[in-house]
Amino acid sequence: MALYELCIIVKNMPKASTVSAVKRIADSILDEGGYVSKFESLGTQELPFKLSIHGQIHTKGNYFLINFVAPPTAVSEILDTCRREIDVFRPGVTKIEPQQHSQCTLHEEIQFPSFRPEVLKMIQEAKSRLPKHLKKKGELKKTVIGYNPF
Amino acid sequence: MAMASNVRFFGSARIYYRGRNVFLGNHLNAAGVAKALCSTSTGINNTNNISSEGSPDAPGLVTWKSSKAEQILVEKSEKDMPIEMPNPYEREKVCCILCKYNINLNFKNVRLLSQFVSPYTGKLYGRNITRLCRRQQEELEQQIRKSIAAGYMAAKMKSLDFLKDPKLFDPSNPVRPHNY
Repeated sequence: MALYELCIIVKNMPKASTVSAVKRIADSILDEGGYVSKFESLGTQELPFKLSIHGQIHTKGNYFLINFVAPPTAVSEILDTCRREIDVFRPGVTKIEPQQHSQCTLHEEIQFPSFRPEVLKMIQEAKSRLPKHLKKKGELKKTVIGYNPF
Repeated sequence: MAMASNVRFFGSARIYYRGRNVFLGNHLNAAGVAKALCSTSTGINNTNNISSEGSPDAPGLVTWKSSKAEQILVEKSEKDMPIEMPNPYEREKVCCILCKYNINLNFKNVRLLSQFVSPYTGKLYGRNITRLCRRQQEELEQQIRKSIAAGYMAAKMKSLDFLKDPKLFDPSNPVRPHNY
């Protein structure tokens, strides 16, 4: 059971119909063995572009976010139900994970190209792809004096 | 005898042990001995011959073997070694603006994503202009794609509400020059 967030846009309808549409989706989540933990409404907003879905052109929509806990196998089923709904469009499920902050590597990327780690990696990869007769032979064995005199 | 040269040596040690009923053989307080060592070096070489505890002439005599003296010297020199610490003259590492302030990119935060989008073409600026590190730029691309797919952000233009937002970088002053 993992924490997911379902973001949907519901058609611009009278309040009662929008409520029933959202309820139907929540029911589908419960049917698949999940628990709804949070409903969040981002309000009625003008869409960034015109959407023509199910034979109708929409310019406004109600944005909703539904947080739920469900087994991973249920996610595709929930999305399928959303797609069959006429009043709901652009369903998307994202897994809620804690954000991991790693070290910024900008100081490495700013360097002169021959010092950048990604460029050095590329050079090594190119060397490994060279044909055998062009590849440099392995390092000569270490001698007692510490270097090869020839 | 070497008594004359040793008087100063033992004298200082005696001062340290004044008031203490200590008859020393090979048992030493390193700190006390270190003080004495500073003043002379000849004393050390001559200690082999000097009598040990219980001498009636000088009850506070300090005696030791030369190996012990060496040990003390080595310890002292080790204490003088440079301390391990981070380079105090190290320059501050250059950091991209999102990493510096620990900002999380989210597909719902359309305003933040739009700050990296051109108001002329509606397209995302490249890494040479936004000055973000590789990881953050990739994350930004992903989140913009997500938000367009979810119907939060426009694909071909920057929202008019966001045109007056503060500029995070100067598009006409890129790191690598562009033709525009």
